[in-house]
Amino acid sequence: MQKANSQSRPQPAAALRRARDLLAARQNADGGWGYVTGAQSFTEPTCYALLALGGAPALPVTDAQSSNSQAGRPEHLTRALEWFERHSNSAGAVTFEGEQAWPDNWGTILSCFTFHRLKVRGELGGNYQRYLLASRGNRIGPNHAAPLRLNGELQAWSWATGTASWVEPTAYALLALKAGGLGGHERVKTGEAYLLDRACYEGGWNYGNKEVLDVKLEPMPTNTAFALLALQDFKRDHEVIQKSLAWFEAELAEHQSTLALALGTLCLDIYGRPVGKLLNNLLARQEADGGWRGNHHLTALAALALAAAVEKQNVFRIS
Amino acid sequence: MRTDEKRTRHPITRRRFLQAATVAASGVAGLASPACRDFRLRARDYNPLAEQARVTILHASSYDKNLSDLLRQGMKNHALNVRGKRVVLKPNLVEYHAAHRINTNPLLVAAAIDCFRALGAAEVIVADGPGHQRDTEMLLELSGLDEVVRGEKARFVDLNTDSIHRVETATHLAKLGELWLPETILGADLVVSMPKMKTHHWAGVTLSLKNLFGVIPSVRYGWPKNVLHWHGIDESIVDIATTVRPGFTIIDGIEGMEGNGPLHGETVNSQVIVMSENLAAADATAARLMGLDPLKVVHLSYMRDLGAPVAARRITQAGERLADYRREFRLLDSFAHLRT
Repeated sequence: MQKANSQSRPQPAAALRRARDLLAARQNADGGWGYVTGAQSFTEPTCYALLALGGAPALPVTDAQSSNSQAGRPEHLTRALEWFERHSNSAGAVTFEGEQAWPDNWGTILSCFTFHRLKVRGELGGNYQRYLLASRGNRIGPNHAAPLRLNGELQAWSWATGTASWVEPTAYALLALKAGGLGGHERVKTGEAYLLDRACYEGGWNYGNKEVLDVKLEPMPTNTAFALLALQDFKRDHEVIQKSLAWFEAELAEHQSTLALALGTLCLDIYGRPVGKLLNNLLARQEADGGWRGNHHLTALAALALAAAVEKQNVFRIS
Repeated sequence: MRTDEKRTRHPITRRRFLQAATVAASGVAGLASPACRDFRLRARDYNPLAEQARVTILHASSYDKNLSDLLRQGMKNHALNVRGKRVVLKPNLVEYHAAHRINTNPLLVAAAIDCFRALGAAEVIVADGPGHQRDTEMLLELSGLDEVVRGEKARFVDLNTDSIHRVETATHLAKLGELWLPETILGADLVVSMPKMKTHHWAGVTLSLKNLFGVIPSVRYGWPKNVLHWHGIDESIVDIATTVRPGFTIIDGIEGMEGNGPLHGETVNSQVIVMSENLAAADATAARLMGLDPLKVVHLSYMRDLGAPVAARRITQAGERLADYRREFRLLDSFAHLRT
């Protein structure tokens, strides 16, 4: 990790502190976070805000359902765990506001990863992991798979139940299972095979199709970052990994956004690639209130990228 | 995935049609379900089943012209009162590829902002929820829409991550039962669909009705919004349109797309803008401008079955003559049957 050394730029440590202060102040009264201030709480900004604020505590904490003691648990985490408790159903899934029956499928997967990273032990996290292992994307029949040139038999993970598997939820699932010590699980093998099958021809990933009706599709930074993070313990010299890293680095030199810069920093840091420029560009985009684009999801991801540099704690690193 | 299974029209059985039509008719009056009793839908003056609809075709040779004045001129054909109202413009913002004209041109969006402000709108918001690209910020910057929105001092809302509320669908062709919709859409007085005039490799065409896929929040349905594919693309198009009830459309046909749309087709200099209060009528007109029979487009035939004005005799044409701008948009072989 290279350090930002420009005097005119904000220092990463100070920028990280301001970002965390902002996130802490923007927690909704219900314990969750919305994507923007005052908006409804959703799973994704809540998970990332917790990860950005919490880091990894020294000792495991228990979730709200199974705790006898809340000692050592930060207040924001206590409130957030209550939010998770209120937004979980009997199937063990996270749910949307005002809806108990329909699971937030990808949100549950992300929550499982978050609980593992925060070392939150107890019933909720266990439920999320059981749900994750039972959840799978629909099989794609040969008539539909053929024009897409994909292996429709690989059932990985979907955004929503009852639909096909896609790259990002699959990457989240692999990260969650690996973070939970289940890297050898057969579903992990299927998920890795899925990602390799869906890689674009020139490297990288888009949302999940490499080809449609004889047109080769182009990769996208976000999906590429998550797939590479999920495959960090796969063969580093594998052709797909090498091509994807090359594409991603070239893309980041040309097209930048908060999301791409933050994920680029987190991903390339894990692969031992230089990230100083990305970090500087990320810092340059920080707004006066300490956030990025007025968006809590982006702010939390940017904070996690800064934490990887400042505190040498990369939330996505699977050791 | 499952994206190629709906190319042929599903006949609506009499029972299914009556069920759908009944709900659609009652839905115009009010759609709030018990599930969304905490959120009041804005009342909207919109009658998708109007006996007769007016559609205006405007000529625009390029995006350099004074499009705001042109739109205001076209608006004179339409009795649209937006004074004091909150207007949400929903352009088509899908992906960005430098080689392809995929998205609604930002200059037309800027013109529409100017136009509705000039007509007295209290607020004009630009909003979309891109279907594939997770990184809306990047898409906004690359497409040029970010610059336009900032330049116009307007507000952009990412519908993919907006607060959402559950509403019962007004029709039930896709059997979704209910939809979760963004607060920005539900709270608008007027939703204006602003699509690009394009062919579509699964739906035949993508115009003002198909453009409404972008109001479906990905935080609930994913990137892509694959639930809609599994429930039937054409059926979902109809259920979303009858539920969202957009009250106006401005179709960007200055540059259209033919062939393998909506992402990889070729640009057509079709030089038209199509406007109407009635989305089905506007889409039928745009399809005719593309050299297609709208009644062979599955979702337009569904709309016709529900009572929407799709037949030419039920559309009052204003502005330019359709015949003067009609072109033969190139089609994928699988949609050759759409030709008139």
